[in-house]
Amino acid sequence: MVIKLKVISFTINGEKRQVTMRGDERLIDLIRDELKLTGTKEGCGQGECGACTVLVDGKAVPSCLMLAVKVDGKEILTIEGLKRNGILHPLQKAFIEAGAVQCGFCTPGMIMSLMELLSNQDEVTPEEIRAHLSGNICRCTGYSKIIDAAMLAHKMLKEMRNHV
Amino acid sequence: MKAIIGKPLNRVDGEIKVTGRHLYPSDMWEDGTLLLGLKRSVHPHAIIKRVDTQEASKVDGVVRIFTYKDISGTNRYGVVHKDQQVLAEEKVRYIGDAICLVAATNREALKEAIDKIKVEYEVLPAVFDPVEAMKENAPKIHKSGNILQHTTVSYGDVEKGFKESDIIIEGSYSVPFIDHTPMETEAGFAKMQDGKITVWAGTQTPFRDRKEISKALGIPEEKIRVIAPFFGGGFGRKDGITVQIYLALAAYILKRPVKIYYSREESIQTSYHRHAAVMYYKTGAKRDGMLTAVQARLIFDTGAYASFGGEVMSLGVEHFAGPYRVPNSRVDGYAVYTNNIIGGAMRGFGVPQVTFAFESQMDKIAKALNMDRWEIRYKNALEHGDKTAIGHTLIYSTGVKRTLKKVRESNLWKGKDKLIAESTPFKRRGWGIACSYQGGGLGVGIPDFAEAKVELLPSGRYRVYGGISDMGQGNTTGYVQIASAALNAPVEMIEYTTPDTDRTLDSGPSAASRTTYIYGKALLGAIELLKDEILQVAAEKLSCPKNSCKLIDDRVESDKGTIHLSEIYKLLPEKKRVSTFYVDMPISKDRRDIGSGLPHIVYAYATHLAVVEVDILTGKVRVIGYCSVSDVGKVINPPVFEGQVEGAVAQGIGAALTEGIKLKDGLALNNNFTTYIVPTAVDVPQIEVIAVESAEPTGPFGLKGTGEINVDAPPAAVVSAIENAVGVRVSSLPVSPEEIIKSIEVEDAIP
Ligand code: FES
Ligand code: FES
Repeated sequence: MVIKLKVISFTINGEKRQVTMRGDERLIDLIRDELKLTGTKEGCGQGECGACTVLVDGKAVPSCLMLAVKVDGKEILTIEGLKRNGILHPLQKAFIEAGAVQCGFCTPGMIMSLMELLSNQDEVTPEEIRAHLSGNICRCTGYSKIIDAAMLAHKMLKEMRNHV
Repeated sequence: MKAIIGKPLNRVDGEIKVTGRHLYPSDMWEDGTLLLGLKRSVHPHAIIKRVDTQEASKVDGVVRIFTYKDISGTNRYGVVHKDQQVLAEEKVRYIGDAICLVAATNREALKEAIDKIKVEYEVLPAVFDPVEAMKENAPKIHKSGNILQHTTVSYGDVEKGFKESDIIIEGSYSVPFIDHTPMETEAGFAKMQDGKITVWAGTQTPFRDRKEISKALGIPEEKIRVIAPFFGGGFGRKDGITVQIYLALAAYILKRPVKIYYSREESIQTSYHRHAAVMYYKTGAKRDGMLTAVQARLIFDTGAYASFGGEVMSLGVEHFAGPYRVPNSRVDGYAVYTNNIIGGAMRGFGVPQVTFAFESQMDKIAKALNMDRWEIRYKNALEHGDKTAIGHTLIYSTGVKRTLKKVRESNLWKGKDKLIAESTPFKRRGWGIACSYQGGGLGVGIPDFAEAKVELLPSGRYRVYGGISDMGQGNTTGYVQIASAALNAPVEMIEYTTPDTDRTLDSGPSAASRTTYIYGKALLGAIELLKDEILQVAAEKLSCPKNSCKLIDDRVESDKGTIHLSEIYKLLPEKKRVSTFYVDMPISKDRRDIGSGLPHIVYAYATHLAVVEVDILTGKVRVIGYCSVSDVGKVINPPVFEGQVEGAVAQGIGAALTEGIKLKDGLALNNNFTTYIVPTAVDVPQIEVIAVESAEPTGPFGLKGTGEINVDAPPAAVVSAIENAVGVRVSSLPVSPEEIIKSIEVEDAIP
């Protein structure tokens, strides 16, 4: 079986990149193996745990289900792209402050999923957050503190937006 | 000095985790790294007739295929019984037994080669039911027979106890194998470094691993280094060998960096699990609810290999009748080999199984006597100085009654009637209660110690060499907090390491609710010694009595002047900049004859309250309110404590409602997250967490241990609530919606 190679160009965490990928390789392989951005985790490889979640053109996707060649011309954001100029993103800060990190293996995926939800939302309830995160499994925290972190981040983000 | 103890402190590993910067075992890689994978048995019980690797070796990208012949050591491992083979020699005992280890340059080659290895088997009769396996004529899985361990304990006179009782309740209960599903499966990386095999792995037991690798491969321990960085969850699954020996073998022979990371399916089929069990109980009580006798027979399915089978079952035996006064008892526990997947350590370690069974018994007695479920528990609850159901004396803090009292003050207790009043004809609500206790440490007869190490650095900062793995529970943060308090220095001055057999000292496993308790205790000792050295040289330098010197932040102060710790560093001889301190876990003073690993003496206690809603059309159960009250001694860091409780309760809710491996002839049918259902954010309610902080006289700052206690009671509490809601008593987990609907129909049919 011959699998076609394809050159793809995309932006990841603000940086333009061009790589050659095989047609059957997944986005997570591109991110973790090719670009060595190991902040994105693989917990199941089947789209069921959310650990591999990244943003593609602002939409949260499980990177284990998407083919790498599909990101040609697109913009990807991974957990490594959140901290800017040495300053943690409010979601990162909130996860630390709310005690939402235990083993931390689900954390990047949780944060990326919440990026999608909270980026432009003026009001959000804990129930909406729970529903939004229902595709992200955390085996350590029982979710309470993740919900707290999301609410806290929401507050910080809203304040930031109101300041601009 | 204690100002920081009991206060929230952000985790020291928070930032490296939220930024994606921390390298987990599955993240490690360097140029030239080979990928490892395993050819595994497809039969649950078979003789290996022939292994043919010829075709497989020709696959482009395959570097090496190992069989047991490449191993010069014992090729054996196992925590207590060395009954597992690194690579199978002549026989396989479950679906998943490893036969060949393959190293390849890329994933596709690895997969192709594994597929192309041909194994010829002679299939043997297999046995999957532990009760069947105990029979004389059952297929023999190991030469020693299928009963791995039988532990029996009696106390008082059980026959007399039953005679004195007014009622006797019998019941049988069953629970399935449960998978920990840590979000990071078994993973690691290894290479040769400074002439040593160096293994980075998700492991709760780096020091024990070093011994296991050494024996199995026939390589001296001095040539092996095991490092345990923060890893992605363990819950007991990584208490012992998973991938470590494969990594060591390949790195050692190939002299190249190697990595391995199990797929979820491989992990679920081949790793350790919570033991499946069947349990038969007979309980006698007086009309006033006082227990007179309990008898039980517990059969734990340890699967194909021992792992912790005997020890887990023994913990079940120890805790078999809950945190209650039982004057007469007899319990027989069996750990039995089958050709199923392997049972091993999982948070709770045998206690969740028996807690489900015995708390159900307590409910049944209450019902038969028309007594309140809370009251019967309170009446029988153990107190300081009491003897447990297996007859040993509780000489340390004993807070179960306090947890029972406290639960009545919870918001959920006060609000439960209102919540339940909102039931609708098709959605019925009810509340349930359960108590539990959990011994901390490894129990009588098993070496249980920690040796802490702390160093004064040139900058005047300190470094704590954490000797016990942190799989996410936050013990490393606990050590930093304890050091900060004891050294009277801000947290920022304390550096830390995670375990590394070359740098830290053996402090035993990250297990048994012991990590903060025992290492914290040793750490306090090490700090006392270091402080003493620091104050000694400071006093000499400042020409003042030692007791007039005070350690404050980064300096020593006295009325004669101040001296910075970086100065002290220079004045201290090298040996004295580092101090170490060893402590043993306290063990029971009586009934030490029973066996190995029991009894314990430092216990955590809990009372749980659950409110559920049962949809009587679908049989689906939703937990809508949950409160945990636990006595874990002093809480060092409230958010970390709460996180431990919330996580454990979520796992317990999973065990109650959805989790359990469905086995067909030894094969896990639900081996991924689509079919093995763990709770998500919509399945777990906001949990009300309450601590009862009995001061534990033996613990650092009065702490006991938090890791396990809250995983024990949820299934019993949920099942209690289901009965309260719809009158159906479930005795086999996980709760089956079909069974609920059926039982409701049957009951409704009765006029
Ligand atoms: S790894 Fe992609 S969803 Fe689990
Ligand atoms: S923190 Fe461990 S899986 Fe979420």
